[in-house]
Amino acid sequence: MEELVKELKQQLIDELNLEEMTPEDIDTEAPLFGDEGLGLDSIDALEIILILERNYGIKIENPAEGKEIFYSVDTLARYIESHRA
Amino acid sequence: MSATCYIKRHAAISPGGDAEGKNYLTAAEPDYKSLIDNPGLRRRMSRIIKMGVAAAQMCLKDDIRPEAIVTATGLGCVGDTEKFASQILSLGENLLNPSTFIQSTFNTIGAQIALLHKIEAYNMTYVHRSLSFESALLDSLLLVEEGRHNILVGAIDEMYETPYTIEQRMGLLRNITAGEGAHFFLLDSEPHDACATLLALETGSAPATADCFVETLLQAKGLQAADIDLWLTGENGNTLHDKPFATLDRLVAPTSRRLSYKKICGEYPTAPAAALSMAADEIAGGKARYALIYNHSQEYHSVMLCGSL
Repeated sequence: MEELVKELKQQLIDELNLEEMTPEDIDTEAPLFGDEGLGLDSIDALEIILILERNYGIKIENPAEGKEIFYSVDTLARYIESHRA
Repeated sequence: MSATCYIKRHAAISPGGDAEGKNYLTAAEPDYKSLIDNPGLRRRMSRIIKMGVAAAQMCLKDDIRPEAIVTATGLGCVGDTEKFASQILSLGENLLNPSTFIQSTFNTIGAQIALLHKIEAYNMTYVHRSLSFESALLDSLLLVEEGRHNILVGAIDEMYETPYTIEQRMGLLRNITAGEGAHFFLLDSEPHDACATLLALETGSAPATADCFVETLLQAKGLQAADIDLWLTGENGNTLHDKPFATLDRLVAPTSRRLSYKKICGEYPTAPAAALSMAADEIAGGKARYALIYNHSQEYHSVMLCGSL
């Protein structure tokens, strides 16, 4: 799980062009969206969907679950862990 | 164009004229963090977008809010387009990144400037090959004529290895040094704080003779060729392309200072914007009263006339 969290953080930095950040700067529990945490937006949400599909073969079938799954790096990692093939 | 149009400010991110062993000239870029302080917006900007937005930011200092944003580009965001096209191929047209698509569109620079300043005014982008900047400028002049103030008009084009290789293979760069640049101008109908006047702009497709084209324009403004003291020529080193400039050299007075501006900025579709920037600088510095700019690319010709206040 720890390895997956580290890998996810690096993928977020690379795919979302968070060029001034390192994996250590991203709080695993902090919200990804909104003003409190990383401050990502709807375009970033699309990029994260692509990370899940391309890199882990996971497709989110129910969009209503998105808010919960995308809350933080931790929730994302847990979802990947329980759904990856 | 009947209303007088004043250039209040202008800003440039352009090459310094030294190719340093390269095949093309690249712009000297500033520290973008100081000009685009929103990291959220900056992280989505590619090099050309940063160049364009930063040049616009230099023009919009002191909280000036433009009543229109007009941008021009010949080839648009080529780097982003290459990235997006490569993804289409490598990912089999599936699961493409939205950011690369957004960045690859021609009007993204005008849009980013508007987003940064929360400007909901007129926003237009012209992509008309080597007449892109002149088309944007003509639109801006019409907006000035309508009575709008602080019209932000700019031109942006980038050059790097891939487009250079393609243009070279297509035979478009024979004896020509390619270039790039981002130039923005703030135009107004009021002379307050202005540095130069844009007196005339004409474009044409293969005019019969370049000298008649220029003479007609000068006559319309009550000027003679002898009045021109700065002569900015758009010759690029290709003998066939440069023919009209020999004709024009015979018309423009030998006493005028002649500057081949593409030796400084290189050849690219919106290079006349670099010439306008140079003319505004020379006029503002008192080194010229009237500057004539002539560009020619493929069958397209354009002439701009600038003057002191």
